[in-house]
Amino acid sequence: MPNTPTYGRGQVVDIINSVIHKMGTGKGCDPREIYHHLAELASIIDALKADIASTRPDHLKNSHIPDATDELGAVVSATAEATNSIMTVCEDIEAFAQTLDQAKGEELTAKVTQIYEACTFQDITGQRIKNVITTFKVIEDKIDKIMETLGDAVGLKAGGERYEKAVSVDDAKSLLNGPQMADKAISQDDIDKLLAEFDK
Amino acid sequence: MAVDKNMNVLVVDDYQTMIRIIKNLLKQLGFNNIDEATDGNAAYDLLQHKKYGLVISDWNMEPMSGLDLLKKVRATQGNDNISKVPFIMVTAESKTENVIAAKQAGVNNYIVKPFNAETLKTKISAVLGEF
Repeated sequence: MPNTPTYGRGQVVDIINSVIHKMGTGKGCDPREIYHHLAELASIIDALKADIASTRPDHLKNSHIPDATDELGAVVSATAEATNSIMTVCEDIEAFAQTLDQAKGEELTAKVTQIYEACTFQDITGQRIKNVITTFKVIEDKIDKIMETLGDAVGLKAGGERYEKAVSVDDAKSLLNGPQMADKAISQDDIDKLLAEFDK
Repeated sequence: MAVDKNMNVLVVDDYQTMIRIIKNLLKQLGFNNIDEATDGNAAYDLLQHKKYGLVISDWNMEPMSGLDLLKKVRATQGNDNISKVPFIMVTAESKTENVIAAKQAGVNNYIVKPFNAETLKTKISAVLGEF
C-alpha cells in the first residue's frame, strides 16, 4: 500500500482501544487527546481511500476481468474447433480403414480410437475453464459491492463501461497484446489492403 | 440374453465434441442407431417419442442436468420404456457424493471423464450384458 507506509492494521486497533479505554475509565479525559486520536484515524482513513482509488478496482472490473473472461472463452471455442477438425479427419481415416484388409484396418481403427479418447480433453478443459470464468464473476461481483460501498468516498462508481486498452503505434509496449478476439481483429484481406496502401 | 445392437441409444451432452466422440465409439462397438440431445429437456422429449435401449448422459448441463433427467426418467409413471431405461452417467463430476447421488437416483452405471473405449464397452456390458 503505497500511501500507508506508517499505518498498520494493529495501529488502528491500538488507537481505537486507547480511545475506548480513556473514555471508559469514568475519570474524564482530555478532549485534545481524543481529538488527536480521531485526527490520526481520519488520516489513516484518507490514506486508505487514496490507496483503494490507486488500485483502480474499476479497471479490474471493467477491463482486466472481462478481457480474461473473453480470452478463456476464446480458448474454449478454439479448442472445440480444433477438436472437431481432428474428429473429421479421424472419421475419414476410419472410413478408409474399412477399405483395407482386416488386420490393417483393425490396427488403423485402434489408432483412431486412441485419438477419439484423447479428444475428450476438450470437454474436460472446457469445464475447468467454465469454473474459472464463474470464479471471475464472483470476484467481479465482490469488487462491485466494494465500489458500491466505498465508491463515492474514493471517487469511483460501481458498474460502468468496459475500458479499452489504449494502443498506439508509437508505444511498443501497448502493441504487445497477443491474439485478438474475432470481433476486434482485422482479417488477412484487410491487412493486405492496408499494406498495399503503403506501396501506393 | 444377447445385446441387440440395433437398439436405439440416446447420447446426451452439452458439448457437441463429446457427443461426436461417444457416437463414434458406440459405432465402433456396433451400435448404429444413435440419437443425441444437448440437455435433459431435449433428451426427455426424445424419450417420450421413441423407445431407447440405453441412455448415456453427461451430468453438467443446462437448463436440465443429467441428474435431473435421471430423476425425471425414473419418476415417469405408466411408461416402463422410459422409467426403466438403462442409464449410464458419463461425467467429469468425480466426487463420492456425486456417485452416491446418481446411484440413489437410479443410475445403472457411472463413467468418469476422461474415459477410454474399453471403459465404455465394459460399463455398457455391465448394464446390458456381454456383447
